[in-house]
Parts: sequence; C-alpha cells; structure tokens
Amino acid sequence: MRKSLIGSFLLSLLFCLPSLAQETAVTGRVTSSDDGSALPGVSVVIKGTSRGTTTDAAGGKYQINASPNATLTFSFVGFKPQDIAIGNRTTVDVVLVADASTLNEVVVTAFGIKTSERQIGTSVARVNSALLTQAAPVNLANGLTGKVSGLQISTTNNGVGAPTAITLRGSRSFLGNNQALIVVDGVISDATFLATINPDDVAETTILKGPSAAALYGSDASNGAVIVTTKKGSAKNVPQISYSNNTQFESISYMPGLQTQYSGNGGEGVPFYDRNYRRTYVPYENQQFGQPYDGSIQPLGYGVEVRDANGNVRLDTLKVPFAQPGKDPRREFFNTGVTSQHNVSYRVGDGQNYFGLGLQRVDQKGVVPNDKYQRTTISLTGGRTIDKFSSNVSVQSAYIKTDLENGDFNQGRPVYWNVLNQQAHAPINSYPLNDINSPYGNVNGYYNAYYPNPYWQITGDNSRAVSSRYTVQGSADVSYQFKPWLNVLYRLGGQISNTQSKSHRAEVTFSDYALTDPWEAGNIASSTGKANANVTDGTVLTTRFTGDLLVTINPKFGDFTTKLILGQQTRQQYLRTTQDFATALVVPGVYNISNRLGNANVFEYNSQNRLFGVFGDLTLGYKNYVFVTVTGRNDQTSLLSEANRSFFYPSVSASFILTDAIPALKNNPVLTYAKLRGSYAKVGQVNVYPYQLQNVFNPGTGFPFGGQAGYAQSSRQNDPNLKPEFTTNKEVGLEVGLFGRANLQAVYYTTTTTNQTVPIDVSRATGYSSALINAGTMVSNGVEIDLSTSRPIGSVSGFNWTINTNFTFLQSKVTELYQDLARINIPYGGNLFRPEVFGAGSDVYAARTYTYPALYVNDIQRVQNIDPNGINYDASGQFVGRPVVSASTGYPILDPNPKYAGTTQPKYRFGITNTFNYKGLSLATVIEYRGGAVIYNALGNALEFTGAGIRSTYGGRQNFVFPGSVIQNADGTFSNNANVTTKDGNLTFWTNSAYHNAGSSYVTSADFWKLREVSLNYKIPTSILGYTKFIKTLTVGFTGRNLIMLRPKTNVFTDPEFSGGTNANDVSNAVGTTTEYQTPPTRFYGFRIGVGF
Amino acid sequence: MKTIKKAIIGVLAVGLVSLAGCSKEYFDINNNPNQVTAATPELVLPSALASTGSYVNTNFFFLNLWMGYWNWSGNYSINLSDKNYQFTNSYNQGIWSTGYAVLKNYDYIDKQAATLQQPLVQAMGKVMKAVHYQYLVDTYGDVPYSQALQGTSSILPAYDKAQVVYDSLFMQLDMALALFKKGDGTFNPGPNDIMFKGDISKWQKFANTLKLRMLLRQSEKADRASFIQAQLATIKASGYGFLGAGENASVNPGYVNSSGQQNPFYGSFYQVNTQPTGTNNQYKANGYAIAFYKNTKDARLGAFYTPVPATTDKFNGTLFGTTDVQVNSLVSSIGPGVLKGVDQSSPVLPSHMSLFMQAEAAQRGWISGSAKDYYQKAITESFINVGRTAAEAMAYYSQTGINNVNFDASANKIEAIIQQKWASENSLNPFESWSDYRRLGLPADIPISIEPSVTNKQIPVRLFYPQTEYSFNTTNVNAQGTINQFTSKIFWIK
Repeated sequence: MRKSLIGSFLLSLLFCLPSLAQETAVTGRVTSSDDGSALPGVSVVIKGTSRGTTTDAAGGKYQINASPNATLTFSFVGFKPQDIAIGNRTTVDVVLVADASTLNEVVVTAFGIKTSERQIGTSVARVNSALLTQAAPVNLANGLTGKVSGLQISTTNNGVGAPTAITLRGSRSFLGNNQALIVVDGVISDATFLATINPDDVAETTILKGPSAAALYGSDASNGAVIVTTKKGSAKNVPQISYSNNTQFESISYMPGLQTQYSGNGGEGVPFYDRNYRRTYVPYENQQFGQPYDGSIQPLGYGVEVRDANGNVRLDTLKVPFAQPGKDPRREFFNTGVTSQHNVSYRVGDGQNYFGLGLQRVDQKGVVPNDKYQRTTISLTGGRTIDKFSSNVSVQSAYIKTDLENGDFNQGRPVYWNVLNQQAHAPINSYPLNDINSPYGNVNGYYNAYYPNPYWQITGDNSRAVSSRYTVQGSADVSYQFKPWLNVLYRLGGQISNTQSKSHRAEVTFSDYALTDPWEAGNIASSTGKANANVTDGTVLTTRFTGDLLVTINPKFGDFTTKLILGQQTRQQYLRTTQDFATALVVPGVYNISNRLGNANVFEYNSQNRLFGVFGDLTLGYKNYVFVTVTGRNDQTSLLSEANRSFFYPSVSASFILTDAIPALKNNPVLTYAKLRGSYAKVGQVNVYPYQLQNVFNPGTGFPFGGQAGYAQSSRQNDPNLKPEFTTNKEVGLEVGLFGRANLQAVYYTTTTTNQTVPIDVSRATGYSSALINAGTMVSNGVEIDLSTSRPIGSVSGFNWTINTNFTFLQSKVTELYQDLARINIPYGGNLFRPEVFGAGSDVYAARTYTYPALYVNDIQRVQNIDPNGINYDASGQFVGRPVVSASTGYPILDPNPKYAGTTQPKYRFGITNTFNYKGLSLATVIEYRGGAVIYNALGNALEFTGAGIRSTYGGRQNFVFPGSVIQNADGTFSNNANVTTKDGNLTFWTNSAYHNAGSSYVTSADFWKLREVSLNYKIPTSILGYTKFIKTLTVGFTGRNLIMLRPKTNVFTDPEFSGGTNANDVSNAVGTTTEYQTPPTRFYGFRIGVGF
Repeated sequence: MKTIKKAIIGVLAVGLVSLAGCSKEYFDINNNPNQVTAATPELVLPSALASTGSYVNTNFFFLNLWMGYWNWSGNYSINLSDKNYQFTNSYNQGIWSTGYAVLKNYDYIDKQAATLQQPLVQAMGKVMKAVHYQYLVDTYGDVPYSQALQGTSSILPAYDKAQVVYDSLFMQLDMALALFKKGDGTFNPGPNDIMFKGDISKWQKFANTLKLRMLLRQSEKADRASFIQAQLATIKASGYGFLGAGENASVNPGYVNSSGQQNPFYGSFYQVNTQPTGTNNQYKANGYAIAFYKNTKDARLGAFYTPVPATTDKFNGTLFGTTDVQVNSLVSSIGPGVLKGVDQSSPVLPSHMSLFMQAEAAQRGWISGSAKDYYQKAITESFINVGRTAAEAMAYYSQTGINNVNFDASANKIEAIIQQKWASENSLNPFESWSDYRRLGLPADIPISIEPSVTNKQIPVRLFYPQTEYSFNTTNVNAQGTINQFTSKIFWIK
C-alpha cells in the first residue's frame, strides 16, 4: 500500500511538470460592481485545477502563474462567479457583480456529502463561525440560539455547566429521544460532547431540519441533525496564530417576586396569636405569615449558647431591625460569576495540505458561591491531498470538571431553596449569620428552626458533588478519486468518554442544648438528632464507533447530471456504569466507601448495541435547474428481535430553480432567484434500550440480605415483538432572492410518527404497573420562514447594516394512543447511571387530541355548561369558567381531576439578528421571542406555601372575596359572590386551600422576549498596528448574553425556559416545570480580546 | 459507460459481502447482562415474603391514626384531607398497587412451582395469595380476581364480587393444604421460606388461622352461618389446629443495620445509625391509647410509647384531628416495644392475634376450648411480643374487677376480647383493629377525628378505588358505581 501511495505521488509530480514550463505571471485587481471598491479575499483559481490564490486585504490585488490558454475563475461570497480566459494578457482586472443568490454555494449535508445549494430539496440551514461566536458563548449550543428557524435551544437551568436541550421542529416521539442528532466532523456524536467543543474551533454549523434532510443518518435521523464542521487549516500557506481571551461576568438578573413586608409565622398556636387571633412574629420560622415589619428591633431566633474567652457559656439572642434590609439579602447571597476563556489556535495549510491546532481553557465560577466549572480542550486536525488520494484526521479531546454544592444536611435541599426559606428581614449575607462557625450561624444556633443555614452547604468541603469527564473523539477518513466521476471514501469515527463522579455530605452533630429544642419548635436538631454523612461514587464509560463507506459516482450525460452515493454504516455503542454509595460513615470527613457503616450499596449496568445500515442516494439533475434526489436506507439493529430487526425506509426530494428554468424570470431585478422544493421521507427509529424485549427479575428490596437471595418480578411487562417507530415527513419550500440583497425562505412541513414505543400505565391489577408496547401517533405541522440580507441593506459611507430574521410556527398533536387510554405521563429522565430507567413522573403528558407536551394539573372547581349531570352545571351559561367558592368559607374548592392547562412547547418563535458595521466597529444583537406555551411554576407553589411569594401579599393578608368567584344557590343556579370572604386570607388560604393545592394557580404564560446577545467589537486598523510587525489583527469587544428578559406580568417566578424536576440537569421530554432546583436567571456580560499573528 | 457498470457492480458486491458478513451472531448481543430473566420460585419466595411483611406493617399508618394509636405531630402542617377522612382516590393507593405487585410474584411462584412439580412451594404461593387478596377485599370490596395478574393478555381486568373472592380463597387454601399433604418429602425451600423456615406444620396452622380470620370477618352476617359451620368442620377435620403461643407468622430475611436492609417498620422511623426519619417526627402518640394503657395499668404503655422527651415516666398524646396541637418535645413517640431494633421480624399474623381470634371463636362456640384460656394466653403473647414478660401479663389480666381486662370481671366477653385485641395490635397490625371495628363497632369509644371540618362523624369503612384504576381500567371500575367511604360497605360489614 505504502509503495503505491508513494508511486502515485511521484506520478502526480510528473504530470505537473509540463504545464509548469509554459506559465507566466498574471496580476490584477478585483473590484465590486456596487461601488467600485476593492474586494479582498476573492478566490482566484485556475479552472480545472485546484491551484489558486486569493486577493489581498489592502487593494484586492492578486498574482498567479498561469498559462495563456488557461481560464481563471473568480469567486466570492455574495458575488456571481466569473470565468475569464487569460489569453495574452498579463493583467486581468475583474469587476464582480453582486449576487444575492446562495444557489451556488457548497453545502455539507449528511455524511459530509458536498452539494451545491441548488440541488437541495430539503431544509438545510447554515450558521457560520462569525455568527456563532459573536457573543463568545461557552457552549456552542448557546451560540446557535435564536439564529435558525425550527431550531430550539433551551437552557434548562442556570449555573455552571448547565445543560441545553436541542430540538429541531419540536417533538416526534412521546418518550423517545427528540433531540437533534449531533454530528461532528462526520462522526455521530451527542449533545454532551457538543458541550465540550470549543466554539472557536467551529468553521460552520449546518442544520439539517427534519427527517428528510437527515434521512441518510438512519435511525437517529427523525430528529434532524446539527452538523458541526471544525476549522481546517488556512489555505494561504502562511501560518496563522491567534489568541483570544473572553472574560464574562454572570449576575442574577431576576429573582422571583418575594414579599418584604411580613415576618415569620408558620401557624404556631399560643402564644403566637395576639388577642385578635392575629398571627404574631415567630422568630424561628421559615414560613412568613406573621405581622408586618415596623422598624423596631426584634430577636431573630432565640437564645443561643455563646462561649466567651474563658469558656463560660451564656445564652444570647441576636437582635436585628424588624424591617427588610436595603438590598435583599436573599439576592445578595449569590455571587457575581466569572467565566474566563483562553483560546489559542495555530493553523497552516495550502490547497492540498492543512494542519490545525486549537487549545482552549475555560474557567467558570458560578453565581452559587464555590460552584466551579473547568474545561480544557485540545483539538488537532490535519489533512493531505496527493493527487487522487486524500485523507483527513481530526481529534478532539476534552476534560471537564464540575464542582457543585450537593444539598443541605437536613433534607438534601438545594442551596437556592434554603435561601428562599429565610425571613425577609434576616440579614443572612452578613455577619454573624453568614459565618457557620459563629454561635448564631452554626447548626445549633442558626435562627431558622426548619431550614439550615444556606452557608453550610456552600462552605468548604461540607457538601460537594464533583464530576470529571474525559472525552476523546476522533475521526479519520481516506478517499480515492478513481475517476473524475468516481470517489470512494471510508471514514472511521470513535468516541470514548469516561465520567468519574463523587459526591458527599458531611456528618452533622448537634449540641445537647440544641437537641433539647429549647424553643419547643421541633427544630432540625431535635427532629434529626444527628445527620449522617454520605458518599456516592460513580463511573460512566461510553464508547461509540462508526464506520462509514461512501462511494460517490457522478457522471454527466448531456443536459443530465447524476450523482449516486452508495454507502454503508456500521455502528457500535457500549455503555458501562458502576455506582456505589453509603448513607452513613464511621469516621467523619473520610469520604470513602470503605469507611461506611453497614453494607455497601453497589450497582452495575452494561449495555451494548450494534447497527448495520446500507443506503443509497441518487440525485438526478437536468440542465442544472431541476434536481431529484431519491434515498433509501436499510437498517439492521441488535435491539430488536430477529424478526423485526431489519427495516427499510425511503425518501425523495426535488428542487426546481424557477429563475433558471423559466426565461421570463431571468435577470429580473426584483426576483434575483427562486427555488421551489419539496420532499417526502420516512425514517425508522428504534426507541428501545438494549434488553427491553424480555421480562426481568430484580433483587427484591434490600436483597441480598447477606447470604439470603431473593428476586422479584419487574413491574414492567416487556414485549418481545417491539418494532421500530416510523416518522413520515412531507414538506414544501420556496426560496427567493429579492433585489439582489435579501434571501427569503419559507417551508411548510407535516410530520407523522406512528407505532411509538411507549411504556403505558396499566391497571395494577394486571400484576404490572406498565407495559412497553408499540402504540400512538403524533402529527406535527410547522412553518419556518427565514429572511436574511445577503449584502448590507444600508451601506452609506462605510456604514453597513445586515439583518437575519427567522420565524417558526410549530404544533405537535397526539392523534392516537393505546385503546381508549386518554394520556401517558412523560417522566423525567433517568439518572446518569441508570439511563434505561425513567425518572419520576412529571406534570406533562402525551394526551390524546391535545397538543404535545400537554400540561395537566388540578384546577379549582369552575362553572361549566357542558355536562348537565356534572357538578357546577349552569344552564344559562352566564357564569361559565368562573370559580365556585364555598358559601360558608369563601374558599375555592379543588377539582380532583387533573385538567389540560396548555402546552409547554412554544408554538411561535421569532429571532432577529442585527449587525451594524462601521469601519472596524461592529455591533451585533440577537433578540428571540417564544410564545404560545405555558409553564407550571412549582417554584411559585412552594414559595407561596412558605409565605415568601409576592402574590401572597396582594390581598394584604386579609380575608378577601376570591376574585371572580360565584356561589351556587340552593336551587342549583349561580350568583356573583359579592361579600363572602375567605375565612382566612393569611396562612390557611396560602398553605392549605384548594387554591394552593390547585396546580393551575401556578400556571402562567411561558412567553418571553430575550435580548440573547449583544456584542460590540472593534477591529483595530492595520494603520495603528503598523508599527508591530508580528500582530496582524487585533480585535477588542464587549459581549453580553441574556441581558434583558421580558415576561408577562403574571409570571413573577422565573425564566420560563427553565425546566426539570429534582434533577437540575434534566433534558428529558418532560419540559415545562420550574422548581427550586434551578437557580435564578442570570445575565452575562464581559469583554474579549482577539489577536492574530 | 462500461466502467460505470463495473463500478456499480463492484460496489454492490462490496455491499453484499458486508451484508453477508453481518451474520446473525453480530446482532445476537441482546442478552441482558444486568438483570436475570429467569428465576426459580424458591428464589422469588423470600423477596415476596419480605414484601408481605413490609406491606402489612408499613402500608397502614393511617389506620394507626384512625384507630386511636397515633396522632400527627404538632410540628408540621398536615393536609386537612389526612385529618378529616375527606380523602381522594389517590389516598394510600399503595395498598392496591403494592398488593397486586406482590400477588403477581406469588402467582408466579404458584404457577412456576406447579410446572417444576414443587407442591410445597406451590402451596406456599397459594396461601400467601389468600393473605393478600383478603387485604384487598377487606379494603375495597369487589376487586379484580379471576382476570387479574395476566398482564397485557387481560389488560382491563373485570371486578369479581367480594364474597365470590372470599369463597374462592377458602378453596385455594384447601388446595394449598392438599398440596402440603401431597408434597410431603418433596422439595422444601427451607431457609428461603423466611417465615417458617420450611416448617410445613406451621404453614398448615397458618392456613387454618387465615380461614378462621375470614370466617370471623363474616360473623355478623346471618346468611353466612351455614357456610361458616361447614368451613369450621373442614378445619376441625384437618387436625392441624391454629397458630398458638410462640408461633408468630413473621418474616425476617436477615434485616441488618444497613441502608435499605433494616426491618421496614423500623426503617420507616430510623435511618442507619439511628438518625430519625421524617416519619418518626410526624407520627406521635395518641391520647386515647395512652389513656387506656394508663387507666388499666398496662405495662405495655412503655412498650408502645416513649416517655415525653426529657422525662422518664411521663406519657402524653393528643387526639386525632386536634387543632390544639402540641410540639414533639411535649408528646410521646412510638415506643421501643414495636421499634425494637433494625433486625426485628415483621409480624404478618402474630401469635397473639391468632389466639385472640381463637378466644372469640371459642366464645362464639365455633371451636372447642376455653375462651378465657385463649384470652389470657393471647394477652401473654402480646406482652411477650412487645418485650414484656409473661409475669407482667398475668399481673395485668389478673387485676380484679377491671372490665375488659379481667376476663371474668368483663360484662361482655366479646367486647373484652376485641378491646384487648385492639390493645395488642398497636402500630404493627392496625388493619385487624380497623376490621374488628368495622365488623363489631368495638372498641366503641375510639374517638372520631375532632378536626372541625369533619362533617361525617364516622370512621370510614373502606378506601376509594385508586386513581390508577379510574385512569387505566375505567369501564370496569366505573361499573362498581359511586363509592362512598362511609356507606359503601365491604360485604361482611353488617
């Protein structure tokens, strides 16, 4: 093999020699037809060869050696390419004509197939490196947010290393994976790996929207794909070295609406009632239903033991002003986070060879004190083309470490929750409360009897969850151009990722004094006696290997062009997790499983699956304006039984360039170009984890007890005959160029997913709680419109303005479930160590005839006129929808049946990117809107229970007439409730009424506008840099992310983009609940410096 | 053109070769390396029995509130519905769901042991199915039975009449007894039988005791008298008798001081290393029971309850539903006689319960023997089972002149038996107390919740069918009509 490679190299040298002999130097200048200005960076290539150069930065000049009978091709983004024969000239000046059409641009689609835009009949969008990194995102996904229609990126939590959910065109599968397939340099990857990529290494991101565009990827393609191409080397044969530094600060942007008027009371009896049965101040409460603040000095907590220098103990009570401090201490608890990124890159190359090296270090300190994130990435790419043989290699490796607080010692609550459970006047962020060693701040003396000092869990080594992830992903491909029309490529890709996690919590013991519960509060000390330490260890190892064979055949016959791609893919995935934990340790402070009390809890999980796919892709073109692509793929998977493991699915798409085909439309100044496209695709997806075909037995609870084994049947009934889900997608699209300046794309699609694999709940009397079956259909419809300026819309004396807008409408509806089953719960995700086991149930469902995901919560009883036999029937219809309150108590009444409260998937999204350039100065902003969804603020429910929520003061804590309420009369009719007030407008109403228990009281619109990105960059002119020879470019800038969020007034809670249960990193399909496990919303702002050498 | 053809053929050939290379073995890797997919019945038995112990002792905490043993702590905001009997169909759904889940395992044991021809193991499965179906019938009345436990092949199981289920359980127990007899000398699961360690004679007594329990349930139904007599005759003819002194039907797989491996009742109150749990803080003593033990000078007072914190002999409790709450530092907690330690066994049917049932049966003339003798033996067993002595028991029931303590001094012998049975079932077996209360209205002075929002001054006679049935077996559960927790009685309630 080696010999023949060297041979072919030598051969290529021989071929080149004769042509070199006749060449002469040609020079020239390239200008724009718009304003006659010089165009730097224009590609000048000798037609039919790969040899070429680019015009220089200063005057748009070039120089190239070429023979007189050669033709030069000049091409530049945003301009029509031109071919010019050299003839006898030595100077060839060119005026390039602006062209808004992107039709001739080369797009990388599935499997790295390079196609010109005009041939594509499906929805493909691209985001270039500049747009991606303009505001210096740490996570690549954040850089894509709001920039492409159909692509939704949600950050489900704040804090360090926060995860993102990446979906294209909403959801297709009820419980299966709906996140887009991630492909990095041709290798199938995952969202976790995406978070390890240095955004500065990315050359271009291509978004294959929906199954049609991604069909070739097979089983994962139904969700569309995000294809990331990293930067190769420079083509200029001059080494480029660059360094950039981004420093960003993160601060809390919005706290939930918190009341600051009322003091603590949690329903204590005597003596915390005054003569009028009003609740008085309880100095040790977390609940806040006490009397209003009056500015006096009051005790906070009760007597604590204070030891003086002589060791004498006395009791002392902390006294503080009975008023809200100037700045809310709960907000001030949080730090200003700092993220610093250092990027270094080195790239070199010419037309045939390239080499690139990228290094990045990210250090992030979170808003939660002591939370940390570190990332180090190294990427290497290289490639070489020798005549017909070319090869590319790329390796990315990353090390990520997150170090987070791990809950309190009492209930394991997150720090945010313990901050929110403090009385408004408690100066928690100043001494002595913020010192966990002071008598007033320690576990014995802290004023709050029910929630520990939030400083305990962020201090030192008390409570930490540390995770280290090591990932290496690499790919190598070799290709050989047998004939001009025949290319064979084989690509091998692999990823190995290892996560080591360890978490622990320290043991807490209390003083005898605290244990006696001197306040008779039932405080933490007396309730828990002591708090055991715990430690958990876990490892996750994943490997994924893919091998792709691509044979490309593209001959041309007259007016017809054909391209046939035949391919084969082999994929193998392996996962192994182990976990061990102990819930009590013997020697304090030694967080090792061997220091445990009792038996170790150990767990192991292994899984493996294999896939073998063969596919073909045939594109036929006629006269370069009609293209039809047909694809087919057959997969075989190890996940299904022998009878069901092989399945085939086809797709067809067409594109038609109207402006080229219809003479009347040619050279139209308004309609620069127009392309009509359509596609149909069917994609199979296997939403089955390994080993889910057989029924299993698990060790019974607590088993084995020493030598005593015991097994119990699983509560899930599995089905050996599971089949793949199938997603069918139909879409039509129109792309037009307007005035030579703007591109407009509009797409309508409809997607149907049938035969879903779902664990349906069954009557427990069947002996099982759920059964995994094939059932259910979901239909999604959507419209996507993108309007972008290909050239600046305003270009006055060096001032440029470009706009990039996108609009998305989408709706997914569940049309069919199993038999007459009304809805299926969508659980939260499983944990890292048990990926095949779903997490806890959520409040969202796949509900028949409703939009997916459907939020179901309890409501209070309301008047209805649908069911004459049902309760609260109002034949007149005049009171329909109004809450019914009890005539005796004035309280609303709970409706025990959960009701549909809306969908949690935004129906409308709108994004607009504006970029202004003036000389070296550029200002870019990204604004995003999402609307049409609701969110369940479980956080708000919890806050009102504690009396901290602002809404609990709207009625002044007095008895009140429930707004809009009606009372049912003895004869069954209804009348306005004018004067029956709630029996209590304070503690009872806010903690125990039907209003509080009804989830609907905390459902608000999830709509928002966000100023996602602002960046102001200044490229320091070369004239100023002139005196330094080695610095070629110098850019300084300011960046901001999520600076402003606008929400409806009813949402006084948090960022409606957040979602999840008790796992802050949940990215399951159960979208739409906010909890105290997410930290408050934050904004980022900072600066950057970039240097090019 | 020719070369194109050649190339295509070549590529296809490569594709075919690789397809052929993808042999069946390449994909046959879907064998579960994490979980077992087959288990013998004697391996399922220990886990199922442990589940039964946990089910009986930890699923009915609310009945300890209703039956005057426990009350809510004053330190917590407790939902009104947990205090005023106005619960929903999500209330304690675990009784249904865990019940059927455990039944599924016993059903597997029954069927698989039949296949493997292990009659002893099969009989154990059948006996335990009777235990669990009785709990379901006694809690809900009509329940799925003939179509239950069949997975997706009967995904919407219809409900069977409660009395039909009861009658069938007698037949199942007879079949079990026949299998025990037939199986003499065949495979015995031995230590895997974590209840009786393979002692078949105890299983036979246990089966008869279960029959007696189901017969006593129906004591107030005149139309069942002949059925009862026929069954009593069968029991007598069997010659096995009932569980007697020292014969506790209790399970213990080897509980230890380790997370998830403690006795489940104990584990509800303490984590390893004796850190109290939330449950421990929430459930405190009830003033009614404290008063009873105090008034009768019952040494079990200090077994069922702890003294008030920082005292040695002061016991205090509050009544269920009180608004005059007291914080934990002022009231007694659940005591050391039922929270003996991490390794205590889980009583499924304790010896004192069997003896009290025999006392009642003797008093009714159903079985031979002296009711007084059974009564005193039962009290003695109860004392011993909570860590007290036989001497203390004797001193207790010998106190002269105390109604419902001294058998001879008691005006109504059935009342005395039920009152003392109630006094023995504190914390661990409140279900039996609730069943006796529903059947006989005894002890008559168990206080109804005093929560002001209680409108119906009555202890509920049943629970609602669970929400899961209304969601996933809608038609069949709706065929049961509207259920009322006070009036929709189980068939054996008069």
